[in-house]
Amino acid sequence: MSEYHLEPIKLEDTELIYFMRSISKSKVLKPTDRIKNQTFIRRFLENKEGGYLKFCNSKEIVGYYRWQNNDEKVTIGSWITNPSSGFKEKILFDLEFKLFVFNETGTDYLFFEVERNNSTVWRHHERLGAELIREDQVERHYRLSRTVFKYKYNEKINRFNPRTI
Amino acid sequence: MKKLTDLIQEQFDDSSIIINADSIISDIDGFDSLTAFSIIDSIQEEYGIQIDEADLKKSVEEIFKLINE
Repeated sequence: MSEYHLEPIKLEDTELIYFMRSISKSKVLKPTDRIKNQTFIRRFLENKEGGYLKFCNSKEIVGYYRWQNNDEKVTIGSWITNPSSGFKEKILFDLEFKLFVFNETGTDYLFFEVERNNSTVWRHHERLGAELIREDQVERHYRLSRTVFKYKYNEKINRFNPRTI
Repeated sequence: MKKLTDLIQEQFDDSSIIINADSIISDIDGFDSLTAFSIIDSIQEEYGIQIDEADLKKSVEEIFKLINE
């Protein structure tokens, strides 16, 4: 059995989410504060229109990610990772989270946005098959198809076999 | 060597970064976990060789030798 797993967050996770967001590259994160962050997460969990998950190993939380299902469109976002986690764990988190959301929602497409200046992140998503569908002054808008993702998932998961992490 | 240097440079946010044979990949400004993944993944795609995370602490020239072993 893998030592990694996804699980729903609890309200107590808001402090760690806030901490991770605070120490991330400020140039790519919108300004936020502790109370706003707590309020947003509490409302998100109450609305039940999606899920907010954390990825854990036996020792620590690797990161957080959320998905939302509204207007028959599934969006993902707010991927944040623990700076002390290894890069393979972070990639594995992204792969397993997307796979989970495809399976959980049954959707054929995931939608998300990445800030234009965050090229490391949007290049990463493009490596996993995301298709640029629109671009504005601030963000690049992407769509990821189930078919393309499944292919990429198998390719990358073999390359970054979790048993070798 | 230039092809490899260009490939590595493409994975960084900042196109003004100068990468040469002596550059240690993990010491390059802007290096992070996603860059590490991109470099390893793109080398696998371009050369069919899988380098390890520890190899990113080597110079570009050493990586070049690894690929051409």
